[in-house]
Amino acid sequence: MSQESSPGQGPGSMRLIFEYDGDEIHLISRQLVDMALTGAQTPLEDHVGKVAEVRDASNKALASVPVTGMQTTAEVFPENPGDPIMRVALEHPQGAFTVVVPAPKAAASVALLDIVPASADREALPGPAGPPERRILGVFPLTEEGSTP
Amino acid sequence: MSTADGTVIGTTRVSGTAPVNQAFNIVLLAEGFQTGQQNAFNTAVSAFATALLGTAPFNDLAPAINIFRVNVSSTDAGADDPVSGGGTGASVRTYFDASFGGNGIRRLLVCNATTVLTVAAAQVPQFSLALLVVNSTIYGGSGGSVGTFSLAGGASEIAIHEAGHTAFRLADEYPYYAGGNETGHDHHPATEPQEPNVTINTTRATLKWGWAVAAATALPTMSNPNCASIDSRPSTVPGGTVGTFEGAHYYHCGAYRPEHDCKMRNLGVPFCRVCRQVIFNRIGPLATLNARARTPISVVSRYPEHLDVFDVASDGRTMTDWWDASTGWGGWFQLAGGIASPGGTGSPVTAISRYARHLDVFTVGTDNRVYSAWWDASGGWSNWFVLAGGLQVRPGSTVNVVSRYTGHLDVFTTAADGRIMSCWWDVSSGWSGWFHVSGGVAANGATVTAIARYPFHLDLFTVGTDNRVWSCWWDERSGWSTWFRIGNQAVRSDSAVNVVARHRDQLDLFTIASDQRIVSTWWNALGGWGSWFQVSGGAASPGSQVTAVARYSNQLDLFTVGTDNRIYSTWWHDPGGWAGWFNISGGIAAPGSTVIAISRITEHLDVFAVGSDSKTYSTWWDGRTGWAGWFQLSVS
Ligand SMILES: [Zn+2]
Ligand SMILES: [Zn+2]
Repeated sequence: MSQESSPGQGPGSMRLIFEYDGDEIHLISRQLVDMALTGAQTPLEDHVGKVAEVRDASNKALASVPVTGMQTTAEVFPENPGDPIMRVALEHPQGAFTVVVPAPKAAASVALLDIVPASADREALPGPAGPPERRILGVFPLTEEGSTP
Repeated sequence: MSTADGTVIGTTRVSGTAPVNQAFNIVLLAEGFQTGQQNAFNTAVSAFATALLGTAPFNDLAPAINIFRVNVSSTDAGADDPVSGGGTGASVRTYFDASFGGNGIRRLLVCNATTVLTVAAAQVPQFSLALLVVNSTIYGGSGGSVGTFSLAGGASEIAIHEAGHTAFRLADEYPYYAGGNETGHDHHPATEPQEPNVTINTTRATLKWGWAVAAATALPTMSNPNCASIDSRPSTVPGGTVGTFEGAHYYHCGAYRPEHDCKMRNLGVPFCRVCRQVIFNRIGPLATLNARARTPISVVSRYPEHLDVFDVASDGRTMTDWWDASTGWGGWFQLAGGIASPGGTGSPVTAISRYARHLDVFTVGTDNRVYSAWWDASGGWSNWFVLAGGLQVRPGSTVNVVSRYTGHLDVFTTAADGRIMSCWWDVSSGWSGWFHVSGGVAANGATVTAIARYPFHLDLFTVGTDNRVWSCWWDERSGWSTWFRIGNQAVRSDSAVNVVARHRDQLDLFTIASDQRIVSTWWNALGGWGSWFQVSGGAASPGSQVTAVARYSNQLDLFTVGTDNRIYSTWWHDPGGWAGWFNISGGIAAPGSTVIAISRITEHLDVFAVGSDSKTYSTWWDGRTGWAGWFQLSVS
């Protein structure tokens, strides 16, 4: 093209850093960031696992991004090649994780959800699985008034 | 022991030239290196960069990867090594509070993740992965939101495995939880894991990595004969074979991995084919697409705030990108491992959305057979499958599809001998076989276009072997008509007949005459067929098509690549008639390429083209703001 590329129609992005200690989760940092996002999903898609869901002021879901890094187990690696990798349950799960979410103008809050397939906890029961269970781990306002320090 | 025990010195890009806002950015931070020991950290970072960029698929993705080091000095050297974890009892003052002996296990090397993430975000706001390099020769590392590894030999492999979890959401493929002698891990629960590289399913048609499995490979490929223990036999099939190997995701039986071995199973071995593709699909979208220049792009709007775009890469990979008003462009990724036929202008990927949560796509494979796949909001992309028992078509053929109603698809293409072929899918009966439509034969390179003006009627158009436009129709009451010629206009044999229905009793046809003039005719229920005419003096680049969009019953918009390879548009409005052709925002297209357009909301058009550099571009027109500039289609 002879034409200069225009930036297209990106909504912008926001990096969030959370701290967790057991079931307690705190949003400790949010930062507008100029970066391309891959892996964001639209509200029409079905999700499973932990996600950060961006919501508008009426709590309507705008987009969601998978969340990794909240650990309840740890991996222990062998010093000798060929020896097995092992998983151990953490005695006291705590730490921090980060997620970059789309930041459209309408974004008002972000909810951390753990979406569990309905069958996962009721394998022994007959009949079709219901809709996934959406466990809310926390809802964090993105507006100035509601921000945490 | 805190950030009081050191200083952030600064950040250096050690590898990569990608724009930082459109790259996979890895940040390595120094822990337990004193001011005078920074060179040791720099050396460790270089070694890690060499190891990572030598690991497939990161080697092929290097143009989209940047690696940064953040030099941080600590008051003391090393890391804590508590006696409770079997260590020496060393306690040192370092910036990120790294410590061996997490959970009482010496090799579990933990840190203050909040500090690491905060420093990484301040130094490289666009970071994708943060790794902490700990100045100790004791073997150790850990995963989670921050990967840690020490300077001990092989510890950087820990960081690459952990990146598989953190950045690419890969599962562990090893078949045990605590080394193999644990109890309660004989049989995997009957719930399909969400991760892309482990499964409980060994059915070929629905296997999530079915695209990577050769037809001759047995499924399951290896079964564990004794679920009380792990299967430690060597592979019974050649290395690199993708299938289903029992023993994965912490269980001896009932869960399967894609290859016999993988870095998500053992350190020091390559990633398997499936994990490589997952990593590729996460980083690859950050790159722009080199398109097969003359292959038409397809675009579908499942709902007004969403676009799905389909194109074919220069190497034939079937690619897709999507835009959503709330997330922007997602970036290009390969659709279910597909490779499209390279003949002619190259087979395009055509697509249709029967409803907002579903897509059906079609193409011709390198074996010149017709394939289909679907996407559903509940399950994502299916594998490609041979359509309706298989049909050999002309190399590079186009497969066109119409949905007369939600539960029905009609598919049209040309067989290897030019016969015009169709098959259909109905929700009540599945796929039909292929059948020859009313004895019709198309010119070499011609496509068959179809339109449903209402649910129980189809109109078909093609270029016959006499290089004239032919049509036939199907009606539920009378079945298929015979083919008839529309006027006597000589057209290019490889010209597609573009058709729109402004309302159910009107058809407008557009195509390219044998002398490159852009010509049109029409049909309406009252007056029958009109005569052919040239549209506003327009002519197309050899090989280019003309595309029409009807935004209203009294408005048409046309798009083409002119003989000077500029991208042109014109419109027809009643009253007013045809406007003159104008160049859209200075755009220049690849010679012989095709411009496509869609109107997902009224007073708005989205236009797609392949530029003279073979990259895909888009622009839009909005009733309030007019034409935007062209932008390269990738990720935003
Ligand atoms: Zn792992
Ligand atoms: Zn793998």
